[in-house]
Amino acid sequence: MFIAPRNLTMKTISKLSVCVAVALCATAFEVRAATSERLVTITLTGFDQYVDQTTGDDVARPFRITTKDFLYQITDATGINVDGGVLIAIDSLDNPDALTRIVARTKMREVDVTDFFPISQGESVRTVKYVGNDLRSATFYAIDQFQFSSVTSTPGDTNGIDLILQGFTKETQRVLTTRIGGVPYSVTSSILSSEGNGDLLDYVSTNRFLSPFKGTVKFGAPKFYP
Amino acid sequence: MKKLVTSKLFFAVGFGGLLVATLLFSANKKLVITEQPQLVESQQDVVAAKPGPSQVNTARVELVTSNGQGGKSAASTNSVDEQIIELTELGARNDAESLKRIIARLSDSDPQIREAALDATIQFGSRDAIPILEELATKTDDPRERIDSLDGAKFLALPTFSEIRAQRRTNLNSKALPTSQN
Repeated sequence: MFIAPRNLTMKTISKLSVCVAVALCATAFEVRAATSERLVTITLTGFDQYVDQTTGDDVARPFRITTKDFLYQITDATGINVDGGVLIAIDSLDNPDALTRIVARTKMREVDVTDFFPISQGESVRTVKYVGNDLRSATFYAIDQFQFSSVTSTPGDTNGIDLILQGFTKETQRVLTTRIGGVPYSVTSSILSSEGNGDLLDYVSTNRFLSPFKGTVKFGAPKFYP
Repeated sequence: MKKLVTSKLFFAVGFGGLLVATLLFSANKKLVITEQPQLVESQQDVVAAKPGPSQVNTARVELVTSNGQGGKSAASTNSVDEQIIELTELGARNDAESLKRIIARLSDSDPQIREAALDATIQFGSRDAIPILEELATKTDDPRERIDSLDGAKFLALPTFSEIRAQRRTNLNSKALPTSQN
């Protein structure tokens, strides 16, 4: 049973409860760092050159690389198991200037892998639709560069891959109002698809293999979270 | 009297505020809980199906041609965007049940869902889906979908990156073997 100190009057209790309520509300609102999450899917076809042992001929054979291979590389490079997870691009809705973060997420963990994916965005041209002064939708066209590198800088350690894809990117944005955690937000829903070619530098047991490849990188439809 | 009214006012505002704060916290909690089941499910799959990106171990799956029951029930409750996201998530998994659910949507009535299901099948990476995609190509009237299905089947028939790496390692080892024996 709570027994109030003798000098704790009703008025003081009331004041205290106001202070506590304000503090709790402030904390609750702070938790609401709204984000938009887009699933990233990578689908590439590479070409590998090898020597046919029976004939001695050089042979180029196609192979496939998908998001799962990148997660496997990240697991290999970091020692943190993200196999079977998903790659997600996270944008802040509260701070549109914040950089997009890329995370690898499984049920057990979420690892920030932004550093594995340096993305350079080229100049773009766009179609923009306004209603009054409000932006409603936009479509951007550009040549963007997507990179992935899991080769560590440790001397002698040459396991991992370096990959550069330069692709024609189309990004569609729609401005819409949605309720996130019960709170109405004006958000930009962005879907991006980049299709292009690139080089893959693969280190296997300190030997280097270079492969050209073609394919797509997609940032899918966003899901909004408070 | 005035003091009493002020005190009561403070009291009311304080407890009202506490109530609002509690509601806000519980709203946050609810949202977190609703997100969890998808992730829990996917991790169970991961634990069950490990390891490697390409060594997908799946049971035989069959093409569901009668509008895909799974897709139909989901369509009534989820928006197209949500279904596409769900399919992408299923594509990241490694278990037979997920592949079954993806394949059920390959014959969905919505072309966007069919496209997302094809993407998810490709991301899933199982060669078990090759005959299903080939069969799908014979059943669709849309020439673009026919080409996409056949391209998907061809893509899945390719060796995976990890298979190529394993072969490179084997080749390197077999080359290194004679010198190391000398």
